[in-house]
Amino acid sequence: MEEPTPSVAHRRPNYLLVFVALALMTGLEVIIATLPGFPKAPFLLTMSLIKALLVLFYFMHLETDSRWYRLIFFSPFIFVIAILFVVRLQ
Amino acid sequence: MAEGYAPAARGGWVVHGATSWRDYFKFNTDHKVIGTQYITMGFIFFLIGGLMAEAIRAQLSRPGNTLITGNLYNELFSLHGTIMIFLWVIPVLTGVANFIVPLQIGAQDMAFPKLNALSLWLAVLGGLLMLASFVVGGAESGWSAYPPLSEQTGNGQTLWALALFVIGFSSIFGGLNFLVTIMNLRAPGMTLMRLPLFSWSMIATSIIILGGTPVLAAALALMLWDRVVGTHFFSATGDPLMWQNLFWFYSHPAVYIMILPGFGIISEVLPVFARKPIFGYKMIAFSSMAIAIFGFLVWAHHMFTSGMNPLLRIPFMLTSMIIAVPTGVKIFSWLATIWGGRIRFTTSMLFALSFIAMFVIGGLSGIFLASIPIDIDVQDSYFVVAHLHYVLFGGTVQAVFAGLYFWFPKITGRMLNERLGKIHFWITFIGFNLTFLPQHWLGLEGMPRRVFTYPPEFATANLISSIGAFVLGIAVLPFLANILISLRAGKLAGANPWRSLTLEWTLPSPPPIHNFPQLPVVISDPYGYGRKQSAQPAQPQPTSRPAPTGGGQ
Amino acid sequence: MNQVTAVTMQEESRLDTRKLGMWLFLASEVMFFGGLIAAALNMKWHSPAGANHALNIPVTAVNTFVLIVSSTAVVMALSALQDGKPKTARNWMILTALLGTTFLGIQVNEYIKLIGKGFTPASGLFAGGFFAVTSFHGFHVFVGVITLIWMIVRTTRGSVSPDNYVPFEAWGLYWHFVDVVWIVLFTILYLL
Repeated sequence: MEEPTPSVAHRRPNYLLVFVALALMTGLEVIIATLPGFPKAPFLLTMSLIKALLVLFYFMHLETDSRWYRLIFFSPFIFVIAILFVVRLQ
Repeated sequence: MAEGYAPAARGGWVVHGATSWRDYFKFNTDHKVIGTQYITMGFIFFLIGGLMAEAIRAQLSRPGNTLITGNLYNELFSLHGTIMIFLWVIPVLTGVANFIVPLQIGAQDMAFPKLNALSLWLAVLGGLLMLASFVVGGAESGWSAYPPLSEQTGNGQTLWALALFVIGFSSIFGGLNFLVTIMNLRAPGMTLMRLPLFSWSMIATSIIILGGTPVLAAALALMLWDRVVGTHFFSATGDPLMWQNLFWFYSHPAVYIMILPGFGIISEVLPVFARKPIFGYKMIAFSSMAIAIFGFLVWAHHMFTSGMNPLLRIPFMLTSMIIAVPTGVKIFSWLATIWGGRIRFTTSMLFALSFIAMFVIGGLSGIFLASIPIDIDVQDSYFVVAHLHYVLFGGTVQAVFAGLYFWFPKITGRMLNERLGKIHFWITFIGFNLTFLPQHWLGLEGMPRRVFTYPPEFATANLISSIGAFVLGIAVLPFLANILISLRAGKLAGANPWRSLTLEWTLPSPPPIHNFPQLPVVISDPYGYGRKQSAQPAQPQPTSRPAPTGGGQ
Repeated sequence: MNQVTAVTMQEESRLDTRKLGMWLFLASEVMFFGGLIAAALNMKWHSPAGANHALNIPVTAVNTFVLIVSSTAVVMALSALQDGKPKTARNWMILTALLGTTFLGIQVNEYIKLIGKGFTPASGLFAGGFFAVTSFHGFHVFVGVITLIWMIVRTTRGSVSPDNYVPFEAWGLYWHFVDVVWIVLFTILYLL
């Protein structure tokens, strides 16, 4: 069955570039985590968020595919945050 | 996308479609067969759960009774609740939806027929595990299984958690299937604004299933780790309240899983038997979506007395009150639908009208419970038991019966006997109210739930309630007799005995294996009763025509 | 099918049924892992600082890298399929399977070492959370490898091909998601 959408090949992301970014950020995270002293949490959490978004948007094509997929995937996070919020406060 | 399926294979264990009763015991990918399997399974568990209820009410008929006490009594109320929710209501609604939704949208089958069959057999497996847990003993902490107790009782509780875990996946795969089916397999011309309201309710229900059930799965998995591996997620040294949060995060939206398809059924039945278009189609459709989303934000109202952070209680009280609004919208729309209509009091319609009344009563007691000060007083009392049975029995179960009396002709090709149906209805109505109305008073007066005896001042109300339960038990008999007699000798139904306008009624009864011989093209909405469309007012006006043959589109 | 020429709603919606199904499944997995991670974090919050000192960051960093490479191999395989090179695609798939198995092997090895050091599921709140969440993740990797083998078989047979690459694309979404979960777990369980 053919997908009646424009060919993904025309707008293929540079997968190797994404890979390099992911690898570098992972290395950076490990170095930061082993450094003593400063508050690592904001930095590490942001790094992992960026890495996750890179995989989601480029490897999983969320950037170029239908917006329905973005809606479907990101909606549950509101509820996850609600659970975390309530559990943290208890 | 539905490919061409081969007709029922003889002798294999994977078939599509049914030509004999044996095909119903196989891995059958036909949504109509799967639907029938779910409905039958559901009814068997309805009877099992019902017998447990009869045992409970027998014990509670007199104070100081010694018929069933202690651990066995705890198991009975725990399994009664669990079975009724997970093995009766949810499967039977899934079954009705399985049969009807593809027909309503003009599809050959569900989007993933093999996944559909897997869902059914997972539910059966879960049901067997659940019965095993009852036999082994130990599932004694209610259907809500609060730790630390649920982590200290016998092995039956482990089986219980495992059974629910399996059933949860059955449900998740089912919800996924319905969403993809309704999004992608609608016949040409069936825009979302022409989608029948029962199918709309399944969109909302499926969203809740996908969003909520996995969290229950996580909670059950962690309970199993605690019980089997020795972790401390919910034990006394861990955080027992965490269980309550994860459990209720699913279990509150679960009640909307149990009611939304019921609402959908009512929206189908009322216009047909009032011979009037549904009032407020868009409001009903959108209110279902609002309930689905908002329903995820109220869960801690089950925890007001748990020792939860007091600051969080008020937001949850507010959300719990606001969620009544979309349901209120539906009630008013239904009333406006039948207002001035030409009502045919068929059994299906009687159940539907009674649904509205009983559900409003249950909904009102729910609003009372949403208020923190009242809840603190009546939490874990019979007031809650009364509330939940009014919405689940007075609500969902009556909607199920309304739907079954409505769609039985389509599913089997035969009419149910109306006389027996009305006897079933009236005995149910009387028995139900006798059983549960006194329980409001019992709860307000302080009788706790989940106890096997009580002080003498509660004796009269309990006796009335137990008599009512006995009457409810009797009510099943005319229903069962009706099914058995009608399957063999019921009047032949024809395609459209109720003169309804939704797509399933354009097919023969029962429908052929591959549903529509030609893909229908939908040209209007399905509730145009009484509209001037032709010179033949007695005929239902076509809402679809066969696709043009030959030539391009 | 019969002489249907009318356009179905699917063709209008332009969403492939299999990809739509997979995204919905992944949304449910977000809730599943969300619940598990909430419980694991709760255990962490109830534990003293440094409860995760027993965990081996360098080895796990390598393991994280293994998964990242495997995700890259998956998109390479998909590109090869889309470019009409099924044999190249199959080679990338085999590499992915090997990397996934490597991840599992390293993970199991780490579990054994941790248990040997007294860091067991029952030894502490955080430990319990750690083992539960990571083994569910590991189970998902395992299922991914098994289903990947099935994909490799289908590609060899030709039922997954440049003309029918969407099943592999849908499978790939699952694999990438499992990678994303690990990215999150690595940070919140090991590094923080």
